[in-house]
Amino acid sequence: MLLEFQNVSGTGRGFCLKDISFGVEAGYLLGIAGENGAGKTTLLHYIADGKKHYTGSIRFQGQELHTSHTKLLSRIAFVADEVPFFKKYSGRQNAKLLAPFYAEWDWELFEQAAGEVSLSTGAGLTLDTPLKNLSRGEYLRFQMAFAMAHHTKLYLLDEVTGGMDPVFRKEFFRLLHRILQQEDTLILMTTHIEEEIREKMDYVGILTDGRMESFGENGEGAGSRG
Amino acid sequence: MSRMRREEEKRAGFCAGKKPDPEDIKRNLWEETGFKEKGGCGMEKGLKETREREARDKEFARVSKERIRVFDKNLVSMDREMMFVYKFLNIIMSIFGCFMMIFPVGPAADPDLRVLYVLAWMFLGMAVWERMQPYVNVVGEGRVSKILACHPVEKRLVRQVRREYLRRYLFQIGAVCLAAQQLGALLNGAWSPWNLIYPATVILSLYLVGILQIGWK
Repeated sequence: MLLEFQNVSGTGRGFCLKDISFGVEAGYLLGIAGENGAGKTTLLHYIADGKKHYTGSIRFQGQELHTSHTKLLSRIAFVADEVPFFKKYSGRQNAKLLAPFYAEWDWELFEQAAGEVSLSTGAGLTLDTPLKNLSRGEYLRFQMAFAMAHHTKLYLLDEVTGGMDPVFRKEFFRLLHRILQQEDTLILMTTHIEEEIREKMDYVGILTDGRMESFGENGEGAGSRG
Repeated sequence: MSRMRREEEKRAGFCAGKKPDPEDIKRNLWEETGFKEKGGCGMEKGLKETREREARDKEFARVSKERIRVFDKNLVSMDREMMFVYKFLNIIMSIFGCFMMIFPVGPAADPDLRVLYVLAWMFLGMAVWERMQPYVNVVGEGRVSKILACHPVEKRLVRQVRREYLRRYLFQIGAVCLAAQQLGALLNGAWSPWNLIYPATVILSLYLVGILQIGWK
């Protein structure tokens, strides 16, 4: 199992996560769905944050996440609106600043990924545009390019498709499936959009009142690729 | 002496009353109980693994600190205008602060100039602030540590590297302040141990100011 939750419980603002247990191997797109306040983002934060705000165990690549968090974080990418970068600097400058922290950083792959997510060829927007001048969608695309450049094994996408135009959303899922095919990765995505849950995900977990009400292979479409 | 201990010594071949060599006891037990064949005592293996893990962690920390220094170098080179302002203010404040350290404390002190002791501390405090600010805060972005929290770098190591810069700066400034204070006391012809204690206290308090700025959690 690439990612494994074992009896993970914790409290957040006005809710509790209770006994979350599941395991997923690499090569799949896992969707976590639930109403607002169910704990979807908190679940992602438990993986992305260094501090252990939960009880139970989260294992990534067979290792306890909490004890080797800094080392494992080089293979995890958290993509969300709230992820901070140096917004007064451009994408390229941000990459120059932060690349030294990633042992597997690949500059060629960064440029290539930026092209794939239409950052290099977007109308008037390039890797040299300050991040504060990018729209929400463009900022998320930059984060995807950044994540791809350091050979991420686990992508944590927090409601990234909300607000995306349908054309780009289609392209975005094609990109995700391409990533899954090319690299040994797992993509964990939280979403509200029913169509995505039904058609795009390989595995779906439904969170209700802090509990994983159901988890399993997605019956319909099972993440139609291509 | 316990019965088990006596039997150990007997097996080790020692006479009663003679202090046995612990290594000999261990060696005999090692062979007798078959530990050797079984691959050794669990405790020894555990110790070896702990040492190896500590060596790996130490190496990882060393590499991480190097990466942080590279990051700092790039960060400073990104916004040259702002860095010039910080550096300029740091130099001006340091000069004023060190100059005021010439006015001696203790028996050589001039009562009318006591306010200068406070001013010296203030100027040096501002100098420390300007010195560390490029690494702690980016104008318009907030604290650098908040951004680095999402990347594979330990906060603890970031703070350690910042404290190295702080200590290096305070060592330089401290030497100048100490020299200035001794000069002032000697020129006034009345040296006392306070002329050593005062600059040391100022530098120590500035170190605390710097730690406060860098953060401790």
